[in-house]
Amino acid sequence: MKNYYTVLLILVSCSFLISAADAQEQELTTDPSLESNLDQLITSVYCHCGCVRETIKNCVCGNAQQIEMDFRNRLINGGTIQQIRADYLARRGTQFSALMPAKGFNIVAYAMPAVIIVLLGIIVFLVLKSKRSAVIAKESVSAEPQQSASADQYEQIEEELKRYKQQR
Amino acid sequence: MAELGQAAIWLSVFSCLWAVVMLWMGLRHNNYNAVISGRNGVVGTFALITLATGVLIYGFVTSDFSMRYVVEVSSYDQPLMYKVTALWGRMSGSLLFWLWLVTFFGALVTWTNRRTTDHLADYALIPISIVQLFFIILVTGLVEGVYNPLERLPNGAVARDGAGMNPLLQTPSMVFHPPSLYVGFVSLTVPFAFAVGALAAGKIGSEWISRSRRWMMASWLVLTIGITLGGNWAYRELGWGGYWAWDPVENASLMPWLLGTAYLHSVMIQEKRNMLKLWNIILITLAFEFTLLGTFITRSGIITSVHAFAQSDIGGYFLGFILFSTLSVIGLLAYRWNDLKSPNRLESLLSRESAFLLNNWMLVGLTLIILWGTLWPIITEKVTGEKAAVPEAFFNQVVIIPGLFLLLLTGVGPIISWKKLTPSNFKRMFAKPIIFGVGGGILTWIYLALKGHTTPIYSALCIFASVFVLVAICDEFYRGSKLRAKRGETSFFDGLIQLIQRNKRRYGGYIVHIGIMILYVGILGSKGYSLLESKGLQLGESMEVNNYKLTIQDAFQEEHPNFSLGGVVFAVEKDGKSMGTMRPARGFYHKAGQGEQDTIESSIRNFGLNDLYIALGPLPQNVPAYVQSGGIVSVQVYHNPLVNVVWLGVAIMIIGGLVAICEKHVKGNV
Repeated sequence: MKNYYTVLLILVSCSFLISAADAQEQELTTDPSLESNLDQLITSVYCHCGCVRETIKNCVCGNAQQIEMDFRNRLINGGTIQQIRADYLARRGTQFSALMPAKGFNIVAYAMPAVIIVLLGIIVFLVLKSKRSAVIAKESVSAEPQQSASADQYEQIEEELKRYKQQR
Repeated sequence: MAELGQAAIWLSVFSCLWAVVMLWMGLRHNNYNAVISGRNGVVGTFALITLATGVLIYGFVTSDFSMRYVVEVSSYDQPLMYKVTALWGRMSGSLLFWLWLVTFFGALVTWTNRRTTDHLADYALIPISIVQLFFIILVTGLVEGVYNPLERLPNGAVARDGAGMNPLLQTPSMVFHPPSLYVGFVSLTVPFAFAVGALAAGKIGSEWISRSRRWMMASWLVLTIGITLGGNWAYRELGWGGYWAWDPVENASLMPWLLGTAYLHSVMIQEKRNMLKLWNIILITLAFEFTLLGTFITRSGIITSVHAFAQSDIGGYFLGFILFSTLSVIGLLAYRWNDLKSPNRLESLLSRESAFLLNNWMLVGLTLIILWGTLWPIITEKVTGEKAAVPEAFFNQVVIIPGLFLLLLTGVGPIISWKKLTPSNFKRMFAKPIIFGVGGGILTWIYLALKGHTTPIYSALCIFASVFVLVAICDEFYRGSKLRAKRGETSFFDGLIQLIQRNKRRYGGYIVHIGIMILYVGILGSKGYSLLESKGLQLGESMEVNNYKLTIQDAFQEEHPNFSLGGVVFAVEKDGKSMGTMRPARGFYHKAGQGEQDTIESSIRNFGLNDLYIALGPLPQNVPAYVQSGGIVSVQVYHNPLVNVVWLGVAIMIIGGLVAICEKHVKGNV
């Protein structure tokens, strides 16, 4: 039984690592097609109009339209996604980046959820283990087999008892 | 009138202090008269704050522009409904409203417990009064960063008109969304106060839990409604086609909800097995503290948010109060440490108790993960010196695993037996849900793979868990109803009704679980498979999204008392068949207070399980003339599958919650 929880804990932490690794996919790639590049750009930065956390693609304000047009022109004139994005963030601030690749200090952000879950899991596991060991000790003293029943079965037993008492 | 309200606020400082002192002295020295006097102090505070709130509302209704707060959030042409809701339009008013709710709940606790003799409620009234005192001090105008909402303009000035409320708040959703969130947050004070009262009184059995059970259920229910209304408001008003973006304010409302949900489950273990006494007190304390922490995060201005309409620098006071209340609870826990030990132990790791502990593990874990993501911009700025925004994708990635595990537990919890899961129980209860779940998951995988989706793993897992939950719970209802029908010789339907009536808490909870399962399916569809197309269109031009074709047919302009509305009419076709028209627009408010005058008035049409959502870019004020002259309209169209399933899921959760709250006396089997 103890192994069951250990396996569960390992599975949960592994799945977190997989999900963190997925974040790597957010990094920009260079596609030869203009529209695809533009789409990558306008989903990688937030609009600075005041509509917090809306990417240029999502935002319907006038600024977003202007920025999109500017990005398009710069791409046509040979600018790369990385250059244009870096310029935008240098001008507006890093808080307008809509990407958070699992690189550098961001690794801490991605790793911490797994750490939180695993630490809490260890606490739950220890609580269960300590509570369980007390019972095992109790069980070994009284070697009577423990029977358990579902809530429905309890309910049925109660009903039967009531009926039995009425009949008597 | 304003002076009367100000006097009421000042008097309430004394009545509140009176309540705390008299209750404490009365309970300490067994002086019943002092306790009664303390109770009267609680009711008196409620009366005084009601008077102050009434005065402010009167100021709004009569457009008294000598009052500073009225000038800032109201105007002559603002509709009456929004004049009243301007009460929570900015910081000072929303704090007064919060205070009024705490005093109302204090008076309600006094009234509902007036005939009880154990004084548990009287002990609970002390922390409630202390919370009241904190909010009273905030609205007196003594602290920096927030002024008294009943304050007049300096030098007897009277403004000609007010600035008006932020147009984003002038929507029907905003009439109900903030109050429901406030009610949810504030009512959490009551179970927290009962926990503190129980610690102070040394009555740490299940009595405080059963006395505050309905409060907790009501709080959870209203928070559920409030969060959903907020999502619905964002969906309709913000124009980005979504209802949840892991915004700090959204997170601030979700965290207490998650902790409240964990608490609602773990108290069942205390009631049934007399275990987890300490944990339950910690959980309800955390839930209460997170309501304040959320307010601190969003009101202090340390993190920007689309929903933060009331920012000032009062965050520090909230942080101070959080520290004070947390340390007080820690002190009481240390004082009662020996009484908090549970005599019972777990019989098996595979039991309902364990399942509830796992559920608590995931819910608390999710809360901490969300807190981590919410605070990340502050952490990264402190460490690297660079400001950062945490994108929606980060949260989606880090919550998906615990979220899916939690969904699975939603099905496991109701069918696993208390104390110990035997092999026969496992076979009887788990076989069907697992078989159907695996079948559903595989079919989903195949369907999505055939449709060309590259990573259908999470979708398949979500459908597996959803089908598991549905089959497990439906089977519970089916077997229970059949048994009742057989015993009572009635129809299956009557058996079902009897089953629910006999244990409303248990079966209401199961209905909530079905609602959660449906909610997950809705989130999966709307978050995972939404489409967005943007285009600039002229009159007569079309664009296509999925199998819908949208053509600009006409333009319109409407005049309203405090705003004008200009937009275009789209003819909608699906697979070549006419499906009517849609009318997205832009609003232009004459007065906008602190907000933007120009607003997005998106148009949403429901086609079966899918939504077609159109939002327009900025337009000049005379839209028909602009469009007729060949002007380009910037259009964004979203195809959002299963958004209505999200609302349906929440509606079922609310129905389940209402059934569960009707249970008067808690039975052993839950």
